Amino acid sequence: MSLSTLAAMPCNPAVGGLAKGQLVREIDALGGEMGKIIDATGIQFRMLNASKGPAVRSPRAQADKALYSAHMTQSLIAQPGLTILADRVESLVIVDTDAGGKRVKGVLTQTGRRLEARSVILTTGTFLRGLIHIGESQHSAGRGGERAAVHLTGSLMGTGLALGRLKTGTPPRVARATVDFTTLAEQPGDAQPQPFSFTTERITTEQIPCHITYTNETTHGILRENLHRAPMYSGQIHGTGPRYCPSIEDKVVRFEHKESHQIFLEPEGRHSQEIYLNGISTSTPRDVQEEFVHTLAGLERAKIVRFGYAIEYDYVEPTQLRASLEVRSVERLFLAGQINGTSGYEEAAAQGIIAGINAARSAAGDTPLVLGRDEAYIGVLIDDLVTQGTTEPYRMFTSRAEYRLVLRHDNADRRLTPRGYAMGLIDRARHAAVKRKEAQIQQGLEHLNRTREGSKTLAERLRRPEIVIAQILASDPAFAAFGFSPAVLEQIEIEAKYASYFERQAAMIESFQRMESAAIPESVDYTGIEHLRLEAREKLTQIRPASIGQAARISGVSPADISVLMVYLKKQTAASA
Amino acid sequence: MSDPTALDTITAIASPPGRAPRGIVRVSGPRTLEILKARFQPALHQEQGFTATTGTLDLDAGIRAPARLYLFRAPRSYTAEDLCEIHTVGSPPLLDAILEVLLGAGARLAEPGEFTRRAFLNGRLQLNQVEAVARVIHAADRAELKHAVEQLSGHVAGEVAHLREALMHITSRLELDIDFSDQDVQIVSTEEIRERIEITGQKIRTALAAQAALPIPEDGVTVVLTGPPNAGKSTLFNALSESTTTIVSEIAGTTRDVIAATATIEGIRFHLFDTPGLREATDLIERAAQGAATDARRRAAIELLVLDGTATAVPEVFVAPHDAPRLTVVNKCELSCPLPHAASAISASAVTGAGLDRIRHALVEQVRTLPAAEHAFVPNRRHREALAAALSCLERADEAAAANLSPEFIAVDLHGAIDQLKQITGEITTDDVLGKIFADFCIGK
Repeated sequence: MSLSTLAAMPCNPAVGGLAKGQLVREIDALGGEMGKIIDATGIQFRMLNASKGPAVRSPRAQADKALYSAHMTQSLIAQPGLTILADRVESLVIVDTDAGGKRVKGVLTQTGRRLEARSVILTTGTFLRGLIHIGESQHSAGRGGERAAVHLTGSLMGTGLALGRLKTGTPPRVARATVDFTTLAEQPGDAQPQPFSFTTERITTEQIPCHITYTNETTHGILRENLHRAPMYSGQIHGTGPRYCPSIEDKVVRFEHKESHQIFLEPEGRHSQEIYLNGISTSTPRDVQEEFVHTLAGLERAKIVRFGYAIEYDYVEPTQLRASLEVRSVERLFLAGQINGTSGYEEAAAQGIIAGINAARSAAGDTPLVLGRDEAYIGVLIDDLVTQGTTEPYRMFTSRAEYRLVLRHDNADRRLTPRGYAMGLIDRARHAAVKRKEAQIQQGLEHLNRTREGSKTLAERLRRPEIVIAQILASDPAFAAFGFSPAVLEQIEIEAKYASYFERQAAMIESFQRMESAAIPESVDYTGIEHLRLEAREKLTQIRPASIGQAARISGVSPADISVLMVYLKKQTAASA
Repeated sequence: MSDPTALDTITAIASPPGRAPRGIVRVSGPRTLEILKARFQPALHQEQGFTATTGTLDLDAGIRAPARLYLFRAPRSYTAEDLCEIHTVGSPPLLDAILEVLLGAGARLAEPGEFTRRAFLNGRLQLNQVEAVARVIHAADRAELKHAVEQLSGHVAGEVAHLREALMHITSRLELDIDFSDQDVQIVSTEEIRERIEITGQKIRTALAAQAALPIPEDGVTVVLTGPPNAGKSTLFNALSESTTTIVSEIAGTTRDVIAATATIEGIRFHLFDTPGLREATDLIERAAQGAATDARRRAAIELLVLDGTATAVPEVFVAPHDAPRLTVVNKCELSCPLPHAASAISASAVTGAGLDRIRHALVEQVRTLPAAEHAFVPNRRHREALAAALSCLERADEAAAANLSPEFIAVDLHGAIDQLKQITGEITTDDVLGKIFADFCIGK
């Protein structure tokens, strides 16, 4: 273990992407670091879905892995109150509570350290009994070149937690100097790169292009001939892999009629000699990787500097957590990232900031921060995990958010910066700026709703698809006189343009919130409620929803079960009153 | 625990199903008075406590239904909310129409046992009644579930599955365009999306229109007697048609050999058609007669195959299955019945009358399982509300597509339609939609 692997990126050299970009913006709005660091170190910025509506646009950047890690490490070292130790945790220190439960008191490390703590957060990534597969060979590792955490699983199981096994993979990397880029299509960054962080004014660094190549029939033939040597097919791998990120051997089998698959050649840094082959994650043997990589246009003479591999690792069934990310059966123990069954840097960071906030709050005796599905993608992510659980590495998609029209990357600051301020993660000046922005947006919208141009208000005019806010600025001097910033104007335009959709989502959110605010005490004994169906009793006992709303989202719990539950809760509150 | 749904106004038919002297529709919730005021004459007073008013309720299309309104102002009602009982003629179509008007005005169909739940949560029932309240909810749910299962038998379930599949398909294509646009996947055109929305919308409209066709057609159920010659069809036909009420007549446009009669069994009207025995036609007249028999057979809602129990084998022509559900009768069982036949076949004797009641009973049972209107899925009330809501969602989705809005604006209403269908098809989760994308497209960089 060493500091040099802090914020290392073992998989693709990118931050953000569809739905993930929203997560990064939310983390930033709450006071997290991810957006600032990628803004400072990214080498190519693109706004995905730029031609679509504002709710599904997502920022993405190619990262400079070494620089990202270095900047993040610096930022952590500079953080007051934070001590960093590099050591491997072997087990948890668990004590019994007076109430008959369990509480974490600290950790024991490989070097014999006993670290006492009021709260503990585990973020084990793929290290928990990590097992790397390359063809027929397999070896214990946390990720390429790092040792696995072998004993911690036993310590977790000792507390009664149920664990499962997942699988993920990574593609080979080739030496930049050995790639012939001349024949390949170029994918440049945006002409006007947009930053992730609300605190970054603009991106000024020079952008580096990516390149695109494709697999072909020869590639597919080689993969098919060697399927029996791929651990996914030989039965050597037991963990479940992500459906949205299949290996190239998987793609060739499952989509046998697709003649070619796209591959992005992504540099791992501005000065890095490694090119990441995005699209061909594989665990085939080294000789097969050598052979098929050389069938790709531009890579005929490419030298593989790191081979692709699959990795299996342990995760904790996330339905055993509260929405605060605290383990329900072990007080003060928090889990975040891949240990909860997710995949992706952004998903991990989103949980990390919530686990961090709540670990600190629980140590201080404060109530946890729980974001709703109506407030943030972070809320959707955590609620999905703790309510539904997951059987494959969970990735965020915009379609998972039922209120996605209002959970936009562009308004993450309006949604979450006040929450971050309340948690002490946002300074007064930044909070004041967001409040000022909000006031201006409301002022602008009121003006547009009040001011008529002919028979229509300006807001109504703006609803027409062909009208943009610049035309309103040009035609209405009073509106222009407010002197709103582009960021404020953007919000006014979006709010006015899609007002009817937002009104409907607001109505849905209102009834959602009523269900969420009907709390269920954790002490309810579901097995004693006779008129709940058996499946509902089991599921409710297992997941222990915090509210009627969450209970209703559990698969296998019917509306009638919810009715019965409400009746019993009424009895309970009346009895205790 | 207060009721998180308390802002909703709920409604349901409170009288037992079927024809009865009096029908009752119940409404409860904050908007009760507002909804009824808009529809009822004479004008309703907002007095406290209890009022009963006789007048008429405005249904759409200029129809006014006579009704007596019992209005209970909060908190002095069963649910402790504003509550109204509409008492009117106990005609199922009329009660449906009233319900539709109330739903259209913003009420929501009550969940099983919801009035009782509200009464309890609002303190109108004693705490020691918790068990009883839960039992009411549980029982109402089971009754509804049983009904739903009956509804969803056979090809009706298939119809709904198609609808669900179609919506999933469109939605998955839109979500593909949104969540995987950074990959080389084929995006469908707006035209295709609109076409698919239209096709699905049309299916829902058909299902909604089928409400007019009751499961038991007003004009009776067509039963065609078929079988080899001399199996005793005509004797059975006469035995089944109650001679006192039987009208035997020729059917215009068919040959004289297809004879019809009616019979009423357990309140259901049957049209019985007797056909000439099917066999290899030997002459022109016979061929014509048999053509008519085949036509009659095609129109059958139920085929009653009459076999000669004294024969040794079933003629080839009757072995093949037919479109209509078939009941098999092995006739002439007053004699010995050497004919090998399925256990489900009914042994009968048209001469002695043995087994006739079993045939009548089987006909009624068969009608109950008949797909209504022979093809359409006839939704129950809850399903109909869900389908109508799904249809408005589809219409909005189509408007968004027509206006060339970005796919998420089309998808929001398609998800709304899918949410509505949950009531009929059970849960369709986001993960199902994603699963469809992963199954159909090569995703993953």
